[in-house]
Amino acid sequence: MAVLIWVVLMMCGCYILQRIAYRWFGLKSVTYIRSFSVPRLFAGQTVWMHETIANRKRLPLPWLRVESLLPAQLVFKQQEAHMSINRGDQLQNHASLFSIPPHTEIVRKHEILCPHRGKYRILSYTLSLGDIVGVTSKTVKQPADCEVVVYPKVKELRDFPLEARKYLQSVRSMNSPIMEDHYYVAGIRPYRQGDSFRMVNWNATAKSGELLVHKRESMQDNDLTIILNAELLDSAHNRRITPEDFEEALSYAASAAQYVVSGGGKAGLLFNGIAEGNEGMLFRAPARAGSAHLDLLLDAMASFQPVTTLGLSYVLEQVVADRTSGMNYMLITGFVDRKQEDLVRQLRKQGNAVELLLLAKEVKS
Amino acid sequence: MGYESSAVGRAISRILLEWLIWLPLWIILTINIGAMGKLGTIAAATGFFALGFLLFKLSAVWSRITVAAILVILVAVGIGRYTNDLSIFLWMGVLLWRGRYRRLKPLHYGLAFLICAAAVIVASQNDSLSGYRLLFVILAIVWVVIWFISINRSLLDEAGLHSNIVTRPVRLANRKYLFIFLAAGLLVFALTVSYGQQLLTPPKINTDLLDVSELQPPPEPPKTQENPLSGLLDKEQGPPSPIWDILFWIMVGAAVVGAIWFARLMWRDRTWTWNGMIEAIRRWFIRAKKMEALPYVEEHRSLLKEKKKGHSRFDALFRRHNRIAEWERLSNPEKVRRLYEETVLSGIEQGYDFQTHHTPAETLEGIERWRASQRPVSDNDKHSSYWKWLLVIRLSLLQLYEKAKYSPHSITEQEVKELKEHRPEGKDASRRSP
Repeated sequence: MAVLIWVVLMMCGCYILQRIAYRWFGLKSVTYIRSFSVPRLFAGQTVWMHETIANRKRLPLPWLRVESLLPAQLVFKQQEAHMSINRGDQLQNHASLFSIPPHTEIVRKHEILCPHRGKYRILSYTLSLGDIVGVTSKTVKQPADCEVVVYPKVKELRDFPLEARKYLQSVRSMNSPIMEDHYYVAGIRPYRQGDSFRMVNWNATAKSGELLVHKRESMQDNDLTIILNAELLDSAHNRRITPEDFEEALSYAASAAQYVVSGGGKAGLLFNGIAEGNEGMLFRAPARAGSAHLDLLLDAMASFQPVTTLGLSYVLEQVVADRTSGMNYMLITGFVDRKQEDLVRQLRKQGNAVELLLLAKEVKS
Repeated sequence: MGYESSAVGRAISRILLEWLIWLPLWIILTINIGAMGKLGTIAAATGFFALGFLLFKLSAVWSRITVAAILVILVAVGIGRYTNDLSIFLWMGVLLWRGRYRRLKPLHYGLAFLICAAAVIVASQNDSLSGYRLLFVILAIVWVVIWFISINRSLLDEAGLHSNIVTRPVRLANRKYLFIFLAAGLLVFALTVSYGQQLLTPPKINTDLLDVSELQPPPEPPKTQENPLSGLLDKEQGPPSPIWDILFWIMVGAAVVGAIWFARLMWRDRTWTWNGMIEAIRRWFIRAKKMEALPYVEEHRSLLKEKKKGHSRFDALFRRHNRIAEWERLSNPEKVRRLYEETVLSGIEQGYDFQTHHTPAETLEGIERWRASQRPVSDNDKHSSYWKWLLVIRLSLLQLYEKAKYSPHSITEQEVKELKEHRPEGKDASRRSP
């Protein structure tokens, strides 16, 4: 009997000792990093989420559970039977379990599909540690700094409506003779119908035997300013578009900007909804060239919300009041009313090119 | 078909496990019964458990009523007819009730261990059971191991939030650590058992001092009350009827015929061949290890190479030796830079406000000025010799440091020696370099 009691006492003693050891030293020299393989991607693409956990001490960790709240919009591509994912409307609880031997680093990679644009942040995670018997020994919550930005989905040019496509192509190429009004000569080109005879390069024509004209630099840059309307409802005419239509509008805007910038042009953006860091104001990005500027535009678009801060009519009034000329505008909106049509007409009269991309019309067609 | 066969297999394995749990009790209860009686008890126990297993497939109310009724009948028959074997009847009742547990949980394995532990105690006090003692001990060890594994498994499931989060490698690793814990616990027990036995055994009382004549004899036990039904039951018992023997042999014959018929059917409908069986066995032996399909990619990397040698607590015993070797490995410019670094670090540790934008000359001058603004250096101060040394060599340290850092000219060993010549060997000075 004494032996039996002694066995129980010894085992209890050993259990308490190891429990104290795990409580004190269990999470020492343990690092956990969560990161994404790419910080930015387009909607519909996949990204790898890396969980890197390292145990830099001699004490092994029988089990260690990491729980975190992820945005519900991130979809695990493989339906993970081995992971606890409880999805909600906004967030999903994600947990994974590790067993880490001494001085070992484990990298676990999950493939995630990002079907919706947005800025997704993981702000904290909870580490729970089990002792050698398997009982939960310690739980700590730690801050995290992990973010992935999902840009709006980019469309091919062929997916644009015909008029919008032609307009974008003309903006990017800018080979209209009207625009070739710069006094610097950039080279020669074949004669086209409508070219003035003053533009003929007689020397080159004589040498080649073909009618050639001076190719002049364009006086105007091939820039495009996109005006994106955040209004989902036209209460005066009882017209509305869905949030999905707004996403479509964003996708058009992102695609147009990318098309123009990738062709060496400049793209700007006006948005009358809520943008991150720009709440309650009109988001205005002047037309600039370069991939850095494109990233800035796409980054802003990732955080756009269809909540109107300034009516479209006021935005167009501001643009008209700027008295710009020779500019290219693309207005992407669900609907336009009579007043807005007048303002567009005024803009055109000022010497600007304005293309309307109506989403409601798109739905009808 | 496959599902049904697996369900039958599960039921059979469950019955076998239940029988193993109660094996020590069966041995103790049937120690004085003949071979046929033992077999009969096994059959009855199995039958009652299987009956309980089936009864609990009924609706909750009916199953409970039926079990309660059978329990009452068992107890009544035990009391009325087989008073000496009442414990067996009670055991049958318990088995019937345990039919409700379709799956074994950690507590059931604990029960198995307790039964074995109780059996060990009983066997140690009963000579007729002494032969079974070793068996009970082995069974107890097996059950305690299974119990711990089961506890570990359930705890892991809890850790995995009961959602299949626990992968096979994690489960195996945890089992390994558990075995290490058990082995360590048993080792500690083995090393301390004699001390523990001595500590926990109460001291013997010297009975020679007691006067036996003063002790009262124990009162006589009361006469056992006769069972009022025993006469009635005895009357019912007549001479053994030959019908039972005939029935028994009929049943044996039917069972043999049935077995032959079943074997014939199996043989006729066989889809296997000898070559096929041999091939299946061969495939089983050369089978590749089945990898667990994981929905993620996992990579393991050892960090042992990254671990810096000579910085563990064990290596601290040899740190003095290492420090000398480390110092000797440095080149002359590196030695000068080390001395400068230590000077600055010592100043920072003692309160000097280091400015990153200061040049080395400004830094050393700043340290000197800061030290002068502190209380005067007394001989009792533990750092006094160090600061005195620094005052002496400050300019030469600065020159050599600037030479080491910015100049292409080399520094001679003699210069380093001169710089270090009067360096005190106190605690402060010997903290980093020899």
